[in-house]
Amino acid sequence: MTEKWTRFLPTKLEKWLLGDEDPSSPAAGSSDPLLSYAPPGVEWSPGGDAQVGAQCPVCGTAYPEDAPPDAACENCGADRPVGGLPPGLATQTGYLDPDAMMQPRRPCSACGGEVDIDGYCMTCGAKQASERDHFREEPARWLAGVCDRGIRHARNEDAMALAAGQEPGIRGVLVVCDGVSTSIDSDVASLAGAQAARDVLSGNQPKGLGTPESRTAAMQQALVEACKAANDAVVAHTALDSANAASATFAAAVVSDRQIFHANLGDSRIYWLPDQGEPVQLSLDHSVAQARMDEGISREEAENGPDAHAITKWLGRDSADTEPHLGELAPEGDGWLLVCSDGLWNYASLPGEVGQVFTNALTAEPQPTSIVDVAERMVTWANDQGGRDNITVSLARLGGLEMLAPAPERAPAPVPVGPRPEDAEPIEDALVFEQPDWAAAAPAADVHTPDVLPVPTQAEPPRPPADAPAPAEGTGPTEGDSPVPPRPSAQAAPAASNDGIPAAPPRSDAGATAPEAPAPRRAAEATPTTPTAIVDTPPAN
Amino acid sequence: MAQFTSTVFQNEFLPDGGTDVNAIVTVDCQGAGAAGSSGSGAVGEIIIVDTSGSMGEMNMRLAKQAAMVAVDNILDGTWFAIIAGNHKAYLPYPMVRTGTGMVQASDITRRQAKDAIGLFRSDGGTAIGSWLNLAKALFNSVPGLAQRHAILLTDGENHNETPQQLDAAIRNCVGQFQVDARGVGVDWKVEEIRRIAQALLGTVDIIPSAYDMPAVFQELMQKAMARGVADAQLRVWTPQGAQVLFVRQVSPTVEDLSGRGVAINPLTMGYPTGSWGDESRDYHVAIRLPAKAVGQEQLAARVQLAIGQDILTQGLVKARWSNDASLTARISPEVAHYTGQTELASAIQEGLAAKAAGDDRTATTKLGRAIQLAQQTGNDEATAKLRKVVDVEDAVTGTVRLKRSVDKADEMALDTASTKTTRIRS
Repeated sequence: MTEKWTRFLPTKLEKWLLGDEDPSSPAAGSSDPLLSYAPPGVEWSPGGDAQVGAQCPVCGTAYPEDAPPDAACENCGADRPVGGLPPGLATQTGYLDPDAMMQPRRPCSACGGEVDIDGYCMTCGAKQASERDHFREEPARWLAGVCDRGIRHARNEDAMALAAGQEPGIRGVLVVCDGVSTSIDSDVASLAGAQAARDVLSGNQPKGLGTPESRTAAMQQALVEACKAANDAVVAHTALDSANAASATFAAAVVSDRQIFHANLGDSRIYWLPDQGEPVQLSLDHSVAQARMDEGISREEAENGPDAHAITKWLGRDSADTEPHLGELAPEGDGWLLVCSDGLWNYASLPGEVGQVFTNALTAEPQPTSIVDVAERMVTWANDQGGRDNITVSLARLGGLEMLAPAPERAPAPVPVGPRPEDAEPIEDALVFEQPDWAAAAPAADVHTPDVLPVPTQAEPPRPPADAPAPAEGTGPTEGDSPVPPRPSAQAAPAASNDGIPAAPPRSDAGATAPEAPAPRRAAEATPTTPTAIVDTPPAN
Repeated sequence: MAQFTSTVFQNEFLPDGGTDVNAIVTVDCQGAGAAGSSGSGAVGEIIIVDTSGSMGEMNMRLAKQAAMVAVDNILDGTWFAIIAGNHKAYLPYPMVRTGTGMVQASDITRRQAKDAIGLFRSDGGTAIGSWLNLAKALFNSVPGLAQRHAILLTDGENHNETPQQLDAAIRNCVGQFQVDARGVGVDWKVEEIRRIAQALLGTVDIIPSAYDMPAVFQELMQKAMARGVADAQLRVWTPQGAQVLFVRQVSPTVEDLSGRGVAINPLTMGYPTGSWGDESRDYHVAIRLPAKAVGQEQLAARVQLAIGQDILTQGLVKARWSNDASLTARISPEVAHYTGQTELASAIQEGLAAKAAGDDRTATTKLGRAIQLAQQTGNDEATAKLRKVVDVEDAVTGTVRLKRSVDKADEMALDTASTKTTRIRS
């Protein structure tokens, strides 16, 4: 559980007492985050549009307003960072993205079938974590991550936002924010913050060849800007009337030409896990435990002391200090960059322990097919340890990916296919309806008005009357309990069964009362959907 | 367009190793409109009147009146026909020998139909199967009839057909049209007519007094004309490896749908529900799942109502395994209620069958159980009808004695009403 350590809230006065700041200095807008932040509730514009790079990251000279966007600094000649998402840098946004609704259905975590919008698999019925509760990003094969709710928490307040170019180790961004459980809407705010920072970082990688110093300065400037953008986003996602402001940690790492630049605020961590050599923790926690360790208390004692997990810096409306801890690393050999939340490292705090968890995940059978697989295994491991907090594991590979098995083809899940509505049956051809005898007694004019009967439309010549009279039908039931009703005449139609009869009934003269020419039955066969009647009234007398 | 909604009542918690999930799904339809108004297709109505000799002069006169009232309630444009049945099936209206055997309702055709009905006279035997076969042929003679419904009136046993012939006719008509069947007097067989109504998605009831026939027919036709949803299908999706134990309609009547399913896809079965008006029906689904570990949750069924290919509403039946006995031991009150009502229906039917066979011992036990269940589930109609057949000593323990003399009509009314259920009291 990440909690803010409110007793440690550094006020301006405390900072001054600690010698960090001169209280007499004017509250210059941009230097004081508390004053420069947009007020809560203002429209937050995403990082891609953020006004970053208005001044040279190396010497601080402001760019002229009319300068072309890619002009170098007039003062020192350093490259100007490019705003917006450069081409070729992929990001993956699952949650909070309207476009994601249009994406193909995600695969079931249990059987690989499709997941319905109701959140259950369409094949095995397994309940799926919601997109927010468990999501993966894999902008490139070498850089991916998993963000998971864990077991104990009702919500996933961790957030992760990744971006990467397709060429391994050249350009990549990993941002992890851990929302603080005790505040409201931390899940929304942390994701907005992570995405804002990701967008700033992916849009501000220096291009061209600068000096190492200018590169580092540019990257650090970008990381600070990203942290500010994340903070703005978190603040913007805090309801104005919220008594308990949304807050989050911040950990970001940028891979740029096999170099790592990183920044962090709070207790989300960044590790370097080299193929050869000892893992190292690059980030520095802003936590009570770290503060105690800085005072010389052992890690074990510090991490188990009271309020050990309380953080002393965070993003959010009530944050006094959002200066991240910055650092860089130019690894000599290949290795893995890990950016994670405390949901993972709570169970493996020392770099060597985290490295072991990672190695186990990477080398376990079956061979992982992707970095997402490896991250999923690490998340599963943390859940197996209890899953007390939200868990985020994001990884980037610097070096080859030969340890991964080729990705298998996933069989498509069965698509439900409903039945076609049965086509209307064709009119039963040989059908003859039988009139009761009493109908014969009725005056034909009263019971039969041709203009309301379905009118045959076929204009074919009338069929000549059948040669033979209708086959004599059984005169009634053989085991009847009642007398057989008298038949009206020999012209009475045969049985009212639909079994068919060999010959049509002879046409009565009374049929002439119908003005329509009787259509031959062939016509009915040819056009079964056209109502066709052979009007055949009983004898009028 | 009609609006369908669904509500699921269940206890989703299963004990460790538990496999069976029970749920009541209430499906409600509003805004159905009048029959044929939805534009989904034409509506066909056939009125089938028993004109056998046993009807006699008085019943025949009242039956004619009832049929005329029914004709008066047919909406303009509805295709209709009148069948007169004895040991054969006749088509007194429309007066055609072949081709299209139905006409569309208008003032003129309704008058003609009533004129034709006025000529009915009682004569001959009873062969209900042939009436049904003719009705099917008539419906099929009109292309594009989306909604097909018949009202069937009889007064006697199906003397002129073997049970096999009747069964064959029923099978021939399943899925073709719906039948609401009514028996007048006490000389007809409830079991026989119930078979027809159940297979053809309709209702069965007794009209004890012939004088009630016109009112009953009026109500039947008005109800039929208020069913604006031509044909809807209940669909039950279950996960791979699951088994549908049964699917039952439990309100307004108990109808076991289990045997009527057709496979929509490997995981989904479709069950016909016929046409719908503004009404609410309850379904009881029971699913058997492979047990999962405690703490796991999964979907046991998606219960949907579909018209054609469109899913109009969906209820989710869930399963969650828990080792908290306070959660898993609870039985959903709705499931318990309808389980009781279903047992009530079979207790009444089995009790009456035993009584008819002279097995008073079984009859007393079954009807005793019935009065107990009727009491427990608050089915006052069943309780009142049971009390006309048995003397109740103690309803709570189900102690009853068979009445020495029972009005045959009361016994038949109990039998026909046995499948009627009451809703749970909230």
